[in-house]
Amino acid sequence: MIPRPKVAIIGLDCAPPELVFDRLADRMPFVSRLRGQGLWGRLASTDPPITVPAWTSMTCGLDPGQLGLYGFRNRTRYDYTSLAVANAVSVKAPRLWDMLGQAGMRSIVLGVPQTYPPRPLNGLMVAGFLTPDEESEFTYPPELKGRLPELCGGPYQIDVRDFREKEPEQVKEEVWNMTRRRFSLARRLLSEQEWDFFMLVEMGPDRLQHGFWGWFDPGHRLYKPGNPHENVIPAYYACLDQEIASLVGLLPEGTLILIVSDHGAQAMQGGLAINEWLIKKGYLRLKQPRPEQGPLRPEMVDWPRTLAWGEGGYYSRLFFNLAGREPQGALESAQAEEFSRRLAAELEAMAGPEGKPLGNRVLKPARIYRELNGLPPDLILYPGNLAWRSLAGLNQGRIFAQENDRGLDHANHAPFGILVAAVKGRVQAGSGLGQEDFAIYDLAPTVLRWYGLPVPSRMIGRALDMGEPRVPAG
Amino acid sequence: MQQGFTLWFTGLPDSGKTTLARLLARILTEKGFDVEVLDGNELREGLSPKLGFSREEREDHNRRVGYLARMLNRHGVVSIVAVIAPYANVRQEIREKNKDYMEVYLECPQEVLVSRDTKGLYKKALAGQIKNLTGVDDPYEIPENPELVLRTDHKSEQECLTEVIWLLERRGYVSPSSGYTPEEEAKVRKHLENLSYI
Repeated sequence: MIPRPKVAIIGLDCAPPELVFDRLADRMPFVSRLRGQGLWGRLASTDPPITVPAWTSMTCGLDPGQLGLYGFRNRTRYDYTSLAVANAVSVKAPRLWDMLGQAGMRSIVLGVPQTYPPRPLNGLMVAGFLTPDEESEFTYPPELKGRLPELCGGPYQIDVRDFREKEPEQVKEEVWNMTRRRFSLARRLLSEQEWDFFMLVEMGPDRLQHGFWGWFDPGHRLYKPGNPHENVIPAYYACLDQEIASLVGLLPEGTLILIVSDHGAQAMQGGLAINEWLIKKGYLRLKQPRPEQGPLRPEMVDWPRTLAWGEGGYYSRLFFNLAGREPQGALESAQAEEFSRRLAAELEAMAGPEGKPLGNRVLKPARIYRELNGLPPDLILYPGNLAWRSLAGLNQGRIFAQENDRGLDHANHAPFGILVAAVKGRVQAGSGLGQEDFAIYDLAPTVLRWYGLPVPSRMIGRALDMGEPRVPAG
Repeated sequence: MQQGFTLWFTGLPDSGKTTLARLLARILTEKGFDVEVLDGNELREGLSPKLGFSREEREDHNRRVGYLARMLNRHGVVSIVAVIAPYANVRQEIREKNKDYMEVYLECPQEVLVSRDTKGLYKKALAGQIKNLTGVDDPYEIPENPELVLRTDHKSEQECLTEVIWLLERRGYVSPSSGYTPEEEAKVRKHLENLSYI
């Protein structure tokens, strides 16, 4: 194989800078040493800072509006029900491994979210989060699936299933096994296969943090010192550091190593029942008698008298019931802009359960994205600037909840993930000194520049200066 | 009327142009397209019987093929071209004139091509019995920006075709599959609910 520069991206879903760079830095000595050799800092995620579209934005170098991907589910029609779950087919732009494949480079891609069903590439792929289950055909080439148990030392696990139905110890053990096996797979493939580009995403940090944050973070309202799960997250990050060290040990000198996360994490304070709030404001009306609790279904809504409704999740999307657009649209187009401004102002002024401002943040897609492809939401809401999650269901008229509508959840996302960028065997001039903020869109241009490939003009990030690539000897 | 487009397989003799063109034609026909395969092995006799193999004559012949492909596209017919097209300048001209044009470069090392040699041309050329065989004593200018590069010594026919279909889906010429079956989407939704992502 012709010697070429190499890049290895190690993705840690939801790994926050507050842990990796600060609170748990001493539990991650390898990553901390790597920081001293290159660039590091916070990595500004997408809006919204969610796994989908963040990893896809990272690997395409495009924002969610350019991709037409605004979350896990995206409207396919202007009606009240058509929300399709995102998958690989939803990605219409080439990703890094597609572009590199066109240039003759070979890639190993493991566990990257939104890669199911796996599309052909020059190399190997094991699809990641949003794969239905391990029975699916989730590898390229298909015959790779049969080798996975041998390659990773046990049954390969794409994700933790039935998360909420399991005991904490069971979740912890599953996450550990899942992580160890994914890294074992990575090491075997890196050793056996010819490759130019490698990317792995490990979902473990996200799963553990959503489940265990309240037992770990003294700032969380549920935290009790000395609780039996207090050390789960720190011990996991220590394990991750060892796995990363072991993997990097196999990489040739001169490999550009990028350790990244798609977004961060923070304590979750509670849930905002967005549709209850819209009902209270008179913007959403239900047919009578109204159900008290449970999922909000379209047939419950008095659409001719409803101006807007919201979807739930770690953030909220608001959709206007626009006349001439939605089937029973009630908001006249001429009034939509004024309504949008009024609604945004009222959301931002919203007081929390104790009467103080909740700190909501409202974003207008037309202002934050370069293009608006697909069917974007009309407004994006970060309840409490993501300290609160959004509950779409009915909550007996109550606007705030301390548990989500599907059970307790400890952590929400935060807008900054991490970036550590270093070249194996090299100490970059000025490295490790201080930190700056980078953008998730910077990764794709940086990788293309490393290979000496042109950066498409549509990409919105900047190529980071990692010096001249040194072609590894092997 | 369905939209026509031109997909041009370019590459050295025996790189797989005719094979992939015919297999692709079958797939697109099953999808409801009207398809015409413009195969270099047959075209010369009908389109350019008096042209030889000098540079100028090859350029002229390729321009005629490009024109024919374009005319078919105008009437909603897909043109799948399996012609070497060795010169970058003519490929560029055709690209500029044919609005819906995609180039697929079939890359294959010469030793593999010589081992295939389905028409015995490499053997004759290497023995000096024939002249002007592209890749032996006539040049082939490798495409710099094709829409797709396929290493036909590394990939199976099925893998190559999958990549071509995916290119056509990305470009909007072929409707993509939705990605999930209804059962798969239901499983993923349940998983997302379980994770509180929705």
